[in-house]
Amino acid sequence: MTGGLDGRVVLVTGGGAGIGRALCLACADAGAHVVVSSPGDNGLDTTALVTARGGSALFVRTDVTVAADVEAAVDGAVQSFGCLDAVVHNATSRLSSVAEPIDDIGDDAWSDHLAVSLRGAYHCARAAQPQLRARGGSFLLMTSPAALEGSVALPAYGAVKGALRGLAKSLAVEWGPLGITVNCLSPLAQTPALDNAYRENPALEPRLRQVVPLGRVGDPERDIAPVVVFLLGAGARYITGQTIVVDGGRFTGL
Amino acid sequence: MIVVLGEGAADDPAPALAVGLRRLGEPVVLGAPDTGAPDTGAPRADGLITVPCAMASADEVAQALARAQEAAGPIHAVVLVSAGAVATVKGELTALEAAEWSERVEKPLRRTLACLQGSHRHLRVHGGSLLILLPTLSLVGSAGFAPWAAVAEAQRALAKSAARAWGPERVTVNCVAVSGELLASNGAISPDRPGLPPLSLATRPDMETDVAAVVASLVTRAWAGVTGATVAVDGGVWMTP
Repeated sequence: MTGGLDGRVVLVTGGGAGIGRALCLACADAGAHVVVSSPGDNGLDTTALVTARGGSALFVRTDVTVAADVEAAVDGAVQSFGCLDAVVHNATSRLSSVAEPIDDIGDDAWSDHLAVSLRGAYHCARAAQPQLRARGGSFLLMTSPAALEGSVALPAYGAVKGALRGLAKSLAVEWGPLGITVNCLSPLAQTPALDNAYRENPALEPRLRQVVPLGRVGDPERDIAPVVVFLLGAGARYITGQTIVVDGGRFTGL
Repeated sequence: MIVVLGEGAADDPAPALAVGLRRLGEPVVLGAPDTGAPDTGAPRADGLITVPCAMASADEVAQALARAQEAAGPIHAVVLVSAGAVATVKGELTALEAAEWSERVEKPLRRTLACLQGSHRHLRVHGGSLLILLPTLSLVGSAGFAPWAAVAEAQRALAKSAARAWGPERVTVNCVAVSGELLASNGAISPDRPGLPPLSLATRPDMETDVAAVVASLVTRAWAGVTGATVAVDGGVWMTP
């Protein structure tokens, strides 16, 4: 264990793969008990990886669009580990990396994006706030460069990720007096979704390398997760209402 | 001609903007679910020409814009005034029931998408401007208004995506951020954060005069090189980066 989150309890939605899995592993490495929330069996795989590295994890099958599922995940954290210190809402629609121009966005896709990213955040906030309030906890929402800059290919994804920034800023003001910090993190990271995007658009990979001052796309576990660990730890207790951009200098507009 | 799309409630701020634009000499049509006009096709008591538009789908918006065009000539700008009594109610997020969440967040966002898609069908022919009026609280946060802030930040992100996609067709998409008080005209409750810094100007901008003047300018050729931006017309309260 490297410390930083020793004994804390962290719930990560969308913890079965990609950045979510990296966050689970890093939080456990930092000493946290991790609740791996995922709608599929890949959450079990993440849990196995955590325990294989000597960490502590609990898998709770969770569809974040269903309030009762999120409430069960929070209950699972409290029953298994005694409390809940932090929630990282990372889950996104399975359509997140599917290119769909704004003129073509249909009701089904739009509804799915709204349900997983945005309604899921609402469910997490409602279910977890009493526990976070009791512990002076952290609520972290994963946003995206598509929210900060817009995206021709992923406008629906960008919209709901933008909504999370609005939610975070207002919740930071609303929950500040309760001792809860609320932030967003915008990562640029090599994920299965980005791999898909490379396959659909081979020009994307060299272009990304070119526009990132540090010259590479971030690694979820080495580049993104350590910042999340910091934001959930005591050192970040005076940071709230912010969007932390972890993208190798890709976006410098704030 | 400018089409102003509003929610259509009795306290809707869209008519004030439309009246202000008309005073500046702009031909204006007001679109809303309930236009406040005595009969279909007749002007309102304040002289505004209206078309019914619930913003339920892109098709419906496009049809409403076609009617507006028949009534008042070619459209060069569409302004969405997104607010209304439901969106601007104050309350803690944890006290918000699921049905209210849907009404206050998901429904307005569906309307926004429909408005952008439907408007684009008209504007792409000759180019033009799309503007979304939203509250400054989305930029800075405000306790009790998390749903409204979420909607507004989603609209800003969507506007940026649309700006990137439609720029080659000479369609610009921008946002105008104003004090939530101007949009939450139902409100006895101020949507702004307590303890705000004082206004940098002597008076808070109003919708009919100050905001209308900025909107009238933003839809002219002078601003053809500006897209995906948010212009704050708040009297210099926040001065966000």
